[in-house]
Amino acid sequence: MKPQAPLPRIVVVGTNPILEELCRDVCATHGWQADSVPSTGTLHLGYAGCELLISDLAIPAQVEHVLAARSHGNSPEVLFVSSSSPAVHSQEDLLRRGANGILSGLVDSRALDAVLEAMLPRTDTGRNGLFPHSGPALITTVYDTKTLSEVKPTLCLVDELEAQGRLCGADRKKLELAFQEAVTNAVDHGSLELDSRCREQIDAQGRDHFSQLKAQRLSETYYTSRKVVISFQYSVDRYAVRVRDEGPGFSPPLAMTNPQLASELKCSGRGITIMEGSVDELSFAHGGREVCMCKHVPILPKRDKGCHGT
Amino acid sequence: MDYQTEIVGNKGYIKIEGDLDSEQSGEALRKAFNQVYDQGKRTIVLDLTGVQIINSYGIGKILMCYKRLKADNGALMVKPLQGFVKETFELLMLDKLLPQDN
Repeated sequence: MKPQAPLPRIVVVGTNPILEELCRDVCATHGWQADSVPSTGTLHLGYAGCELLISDLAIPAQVEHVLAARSHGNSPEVLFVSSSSPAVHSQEDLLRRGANGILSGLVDSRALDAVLEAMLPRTDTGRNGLFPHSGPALITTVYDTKTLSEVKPTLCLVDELEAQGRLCGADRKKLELAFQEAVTNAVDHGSLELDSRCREQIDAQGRDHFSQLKAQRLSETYYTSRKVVISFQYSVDRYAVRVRDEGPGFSPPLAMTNPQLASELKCSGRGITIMEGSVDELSFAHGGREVCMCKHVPILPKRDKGCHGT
Repeated sequence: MDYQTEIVGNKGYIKIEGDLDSEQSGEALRKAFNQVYDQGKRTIVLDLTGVQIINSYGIGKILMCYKRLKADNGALMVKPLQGFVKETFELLMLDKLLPQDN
């Protein structure tokens, strides 16, 4: 018999009953072990053998306590959870100080599950191949559809990448566009369940049915309360954006690039081509409800390529 | 997004400034197009040199304009493109579809 890999053990730090319950729910579905340990101010023995510490971001003393635990002993990974949406730069600061992930916004069990799936090495289903080494930094935010239709959260990500010198000016627009296409798809085709074919129905004034239907559905709570999870993950040589929606999903085309595009005059269906042309890897998961885009970056950006915005 | 329209001879011109990447900007393009179309022009030239970002919304609206003109035996043309918009057009092979107005 093959020796079985030990199940991940997850510890929720501090007393936050909602977070504890959420974590237990998610762990139960995977058969992982979940414990809660009060934050005592000293490094706690309860963290021994633990693979991941989960902590609320709201209590500064607890944040410091958890970051200290991260730098000691067997270095469990650390995930901070916040019900508000901290600024990207303050999240980056936490990651620099040793946190491995931050989950914020309208956190629910699906979002936590998506994050744990990305963070924990899983021998049962195989970890996604994008980040073969452990501990890539992960920033995840959960939005409701209404908010997401009004803001462009991915712009902050691109700004941050540019500030870090990990993104050349020429690539910026491409990436911004690809990220935004993914979010737009999640909102339009996921949450709002809009069919692209509606774009072909045009009235005498040139108005398309799609836009009209979109405006209508954006006023219906049934659609707008649906959540979209946006994850931004990076390691030293690559970064990735994942967008997961709660819509009906779709069957991604087998061959993504469509050479007949010019002759095919549909007013839609170009988002995937745009995404594919802008990133190095594009994949779909969870029945088309999740898109993942990955971009490789040189480990040492060359200064003479203008990557530092000089 | 802002736009200006102009009629020169039998051609209508639409100059777009700003980004063509949202329902709102797509709606603005539709209005601009209607202004020129309603004056009977069936050869319409888009000037996208002032556009920094274009996405699938913008492309979709441009194709809608193309289809309306084609149905009337008209033509949609573009001023020579540059930079990011040019790359996007090439990626989607729209450069083969929309002739250039030099």
